[in-house]
Amino acid sequence: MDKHRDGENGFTLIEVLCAASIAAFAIAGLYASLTTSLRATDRLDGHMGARITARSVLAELDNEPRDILRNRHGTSGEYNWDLQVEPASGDLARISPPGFQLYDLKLTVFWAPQGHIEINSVRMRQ
Amino acid sequence: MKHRSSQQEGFTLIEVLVGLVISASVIAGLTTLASSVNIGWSQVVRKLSSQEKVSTGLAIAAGDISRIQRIADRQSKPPQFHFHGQPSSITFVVQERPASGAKGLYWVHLFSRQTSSGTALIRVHAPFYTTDGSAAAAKWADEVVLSEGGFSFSFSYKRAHGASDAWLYDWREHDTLPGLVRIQTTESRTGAQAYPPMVIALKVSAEAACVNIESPACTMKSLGKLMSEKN
Repeated sequence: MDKHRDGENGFTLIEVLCAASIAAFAIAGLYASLTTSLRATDRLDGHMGARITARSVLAELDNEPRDILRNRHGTSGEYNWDLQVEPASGDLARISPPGFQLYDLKLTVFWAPQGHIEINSVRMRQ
Repeated sequence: MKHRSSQQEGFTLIEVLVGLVISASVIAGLTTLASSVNIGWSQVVRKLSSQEKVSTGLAIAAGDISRIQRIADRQSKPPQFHFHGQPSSITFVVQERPASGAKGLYWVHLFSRQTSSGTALIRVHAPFYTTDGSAAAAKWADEVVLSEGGFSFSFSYKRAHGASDAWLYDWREHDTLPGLVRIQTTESRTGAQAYPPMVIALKVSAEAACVNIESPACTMKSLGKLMSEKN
């Protein structure tokens, strides 16, 4: 055997199998990280849609400047949103001009299976 | 056997075959794994780049639309705003961003165009001259592709303070500006909605015409509606 190897300078079967299994482990690792990043792009998709939804809800609110702000909720495609309105408290409340009231808005957008984003904003109403 | 192998120093046919089978299956397994990693990787890259394109395209379009200037065309009778809204295009006047290297008022035209790779959302602009302020006379330049790929974009419009109104695909009320503009993103191939519709509110900024509050081009007192000149 030793003599054989000296003459040919090749790999034994064991060596090849070892190398292949190491490569398999490496590729399996890559594969696992790939699955993670695929899931991450899906989550990113969800976030992007939720951001667009939130922006749209606030835009529709701004188109009705005389409406009284109140809690409301709605659905846009696969996104559900929920708007909580409260009169602003603290320093913000003090800077509003007489006759106007500042409101704290808390907008939450949910999507399946368990994504959600929360956006805080303020709006002024007479 | 022993004698022969020591004489010839080779492998027997069985050894070669077993070696071939093992290495073939090992190589086949590794190749399958590697190619599925490759396919998955390009899928991730494709998806990320299309997301990125749509998101920047929509952000730029939304930024432009929210800054639409309320400028009236006094030459036309009855007077109308410098604004044209169609399902596949929108034309309006904005103050260009200082960073764009262009100062002053510009016509901006956003439209979709069919390309070899699907539909593209394109932005062109042209200097706005108050003397000949029609969009037809504009010399469009500086074409920018806001988004290109498998998505189609369409515009629709809603009246200001018109919560219960329907979305209009053609804006015909030329004496007012819409309160909201909506951009719908669909997949060109299937026609399915790709992202939720993006609704943009036009910012209510003071009109230049309101330097003289009695001017018919100042719409502060008339719920955004342009009045005819009284004379």
